[in-house]
Amino acid sequence: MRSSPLHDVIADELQSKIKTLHGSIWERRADWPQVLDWLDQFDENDDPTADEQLQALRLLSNFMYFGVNEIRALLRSLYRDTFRPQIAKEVRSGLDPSITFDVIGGMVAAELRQTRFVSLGNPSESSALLLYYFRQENCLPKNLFLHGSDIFDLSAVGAGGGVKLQHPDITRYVFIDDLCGSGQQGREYSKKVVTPLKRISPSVKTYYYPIFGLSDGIDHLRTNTEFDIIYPVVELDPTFRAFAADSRLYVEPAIADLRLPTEATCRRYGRDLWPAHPLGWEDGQLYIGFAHNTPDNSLPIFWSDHTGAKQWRPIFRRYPKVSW
Amino acid sequence: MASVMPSNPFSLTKANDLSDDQIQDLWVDIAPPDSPDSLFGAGRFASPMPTFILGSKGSGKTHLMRYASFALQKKRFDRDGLALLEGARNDGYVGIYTLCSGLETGRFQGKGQSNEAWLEVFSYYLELSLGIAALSVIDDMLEGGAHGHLHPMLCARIGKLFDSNPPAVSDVGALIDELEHRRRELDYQVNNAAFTGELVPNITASRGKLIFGIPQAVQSCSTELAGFLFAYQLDELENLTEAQQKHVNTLVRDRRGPATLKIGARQFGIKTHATMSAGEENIRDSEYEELRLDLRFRRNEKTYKDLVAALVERRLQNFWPQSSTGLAGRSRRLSDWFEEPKRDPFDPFFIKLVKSASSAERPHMVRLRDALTAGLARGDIAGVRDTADIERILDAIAVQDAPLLEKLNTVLLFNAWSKGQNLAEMAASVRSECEIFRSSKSAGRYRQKLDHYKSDLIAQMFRDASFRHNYGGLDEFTRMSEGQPRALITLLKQTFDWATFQGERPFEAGSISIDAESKGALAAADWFYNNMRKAGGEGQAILIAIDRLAELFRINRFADNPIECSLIGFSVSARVGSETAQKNLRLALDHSFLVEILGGQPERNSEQITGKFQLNRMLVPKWGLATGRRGIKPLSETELNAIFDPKQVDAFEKVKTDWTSRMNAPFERARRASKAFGNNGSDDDQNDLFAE
Repeated sequence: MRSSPLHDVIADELQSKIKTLHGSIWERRADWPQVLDWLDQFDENDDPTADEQLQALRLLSNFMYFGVNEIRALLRSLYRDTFRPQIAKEVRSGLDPSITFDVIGGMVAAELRQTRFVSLGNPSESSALLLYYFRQENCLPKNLFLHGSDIFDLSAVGAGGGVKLQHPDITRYVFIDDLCGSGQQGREYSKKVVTPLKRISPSVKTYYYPIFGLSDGIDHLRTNTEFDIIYPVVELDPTFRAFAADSRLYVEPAIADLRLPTEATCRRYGRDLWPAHPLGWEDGQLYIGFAHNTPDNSLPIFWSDHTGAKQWRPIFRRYPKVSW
Repeated sequence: MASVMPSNPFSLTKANDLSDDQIQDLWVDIAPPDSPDSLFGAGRFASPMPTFILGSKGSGKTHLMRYASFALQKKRFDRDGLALLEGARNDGYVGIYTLCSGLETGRFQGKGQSNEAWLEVFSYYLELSLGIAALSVIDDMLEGGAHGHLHPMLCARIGKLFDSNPPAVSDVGALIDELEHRRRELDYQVNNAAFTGELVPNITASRGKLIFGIPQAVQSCSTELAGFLFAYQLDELENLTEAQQKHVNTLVRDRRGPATLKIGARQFGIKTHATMSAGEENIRDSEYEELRLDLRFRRNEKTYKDLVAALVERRLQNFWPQSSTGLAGRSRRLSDWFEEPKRDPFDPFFIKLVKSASSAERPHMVRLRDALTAGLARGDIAGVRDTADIERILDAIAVQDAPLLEKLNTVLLFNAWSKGQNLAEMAASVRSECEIFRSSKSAGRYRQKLDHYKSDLIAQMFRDASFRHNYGGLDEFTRMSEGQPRALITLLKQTFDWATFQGERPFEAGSISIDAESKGALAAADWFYNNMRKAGGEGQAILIAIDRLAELFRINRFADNPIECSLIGFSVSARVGSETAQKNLRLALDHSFLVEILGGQPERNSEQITGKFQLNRMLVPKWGLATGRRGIKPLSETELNAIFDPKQVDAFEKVKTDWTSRMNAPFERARRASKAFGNNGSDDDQNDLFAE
């Protein structure tokens, strides 16, 4: 990194912040040599405001990493604060207000027995891992979980019959995901699973609960899919997009002018790394990562590696879905 | 030892957080335990004379007391194959350790009850608590041996200690249960007094009856149970109110039988030495002895250095096995793991520091030239008539290959200027002295000036180059810790964290970089400083005072002509200053932001009129000040009040202006201002550090 009185003041402050993050919530994922190695891919400049390395370092100092413990805590919250109150609300809506908590509790438990938690996509993907943690954290029995492909009974297909449900007595299907970005993946899944499910059994209720959801993506799903309830544990409004006009990264007047130059830098490198989506999938502009992976909605400068369009050394690597 | 290895061998800094095994394994001493020089020996646990073990936060009181407690004695007896009674007789005591904070003494006040009532309740509560602790030790000692038959006799004798309702039990375990039951009932009453409006305890034993009676009863039962003392170890006495401390003092005074008290407290946590025995005060060396841990370390630098080395080695052995096996295994000295700051004037580092600029372009030479040029216009500099004179002076003192010496030369010129001396003559003299030093490296006057001023000169050069000031080396860290082992552990913890974060392998390969050490020192200083923010209004007052003091010391450190070198200390008459200033000075001492300067000076509580104090060196990286104190600045009453009274904002600004003008060219107010501020007859004139 360039050293000068002006550069050093900024670099020292950011280094100190990153050290704290590294030693605590980043789970020691980015020590200083790794950071320097990553920064080395950006250009230096005598002018600190134009120095790409300082721009990248500032962005990195805001990276939101969620380790296993945080994800587990969020999954507890998903069940305790989001899903269970929703069921209780639904149960109570048909009851006399004077019914006691014990009665409601019993009815919620009965509803829960007719609920299945379902992972999104392939069993090797992150959703399946999340369900494993979800079950452990909320002390739920194994039989409440299934894979998407187990929703339907195809045994009669080809023998004159049609697609049926494997468990006709199930009244609720809950789909759990780590992140809803643009909402496109959820929409595709809805088409493949939720639409046929509703066609067979219109009364079945479907819930989509991502841990994190961008407001736009959540709105998109609410408008364009047949999920009955869509609710993220943590909603990321547009200010979480790194270079939005009201981005929360550049609120302080002293650094507000860095927003556009930093965006230009990220776009320039991003075009080499992922030409179609230089600032992340569908212009995600996120700076978020999980212990199990970094989503492609985050800026590619953070996660792109040797498998991208250009060789790159990531700081929070993404493990892409490889196609053979 | 801990089952999970920490990622930093210095991460545990408080003895309260250590397990018994860790207390044992991490204990280091400076002499064999039976030697009076040893820390353990100094605790005098086997002496019937009560002892106050005093020290600032982190000076090792709790570690020492826990190490001396029965839980740890047992481990050592087991290690040495000794039966408990045999071990106790060998040691001469059993340590009954109790944390005062564990008594939750804050409960024993208010709630509509009189102070007298609360004091009686607290007294009984302490009887029960220490009684239970003593009986637990006895129960352990009697267990499994041939002493089972003693239980009924012992219980009967202890039963006689009660004024009413003696426990009807015949074994020690049941006796403990009964006392715990009585304590729980008392807890219930105390905790609910605010709601019930009542406090009707059934006090069944008088003050001291159980505490001193139980050991007597034990030893009267059998000669086999005699031959050792019951040492009640009360730690963190500062948590008790003044009235509660008075009660403990009374126990100290009325001590009897085979029992004694060993009391741990923060240095300034002793609120009173008064007793309830006809208003008598306990007198040191008469009713009690005093062990002041950090004072002991600060008085004996060598002892402390040895202790520190052993302490670090022990940490590494226990928590960082990859550091190999001790000194011999690594065949390098502990200090070799730490990069030292550059201090040799001929080190190429200083050429780098001035960015290889020629003498004329270096910041210190530019500063001198600018100051002389400005002074030329006023025509009041002896020996400087025109710009040619200025250039001749600058040429004379230039040292192209040793910028640090050149820097010293500029300061010598500024000093001569402040005294109205002829600068042309001084430049020639400085050049001559500098040449002699360069050729012979001899220990003459010039060398002395360099040694005295080196820290400030380097600090100024760092500032000119916009470099962070360096702190590092085991010696410097040891000095900074001011006799508080926990401060040293904190410094090492932060340094280790920075080093590993920066990709270094501390205590495994290479040396810890000066960069990591400096950042560690700064982080430790911030931690120390920010802890005070939690201390409410008093904490704020201390921070304001310390900030102001540091600001003045910085003015001196970065001045053209510092009046004191490596200034972090001051002296002040104990009889001057407003009540607020005196109170805040004391608070800063209580919280170890300031420390008393020793070195032959009588202590503050004595008859000595002048007190000498310095900033705690743990804090100095925060302001880039020196760790090796040399100068001490006498403060006038006006200065003392301006620094230590938070409301004196304007007065402090005046003091700053005064210091700045006295120490920087053109030195116009150097003497005039000092007279205005030195209004109490104290020696407040500008000192001449360069005088013969």
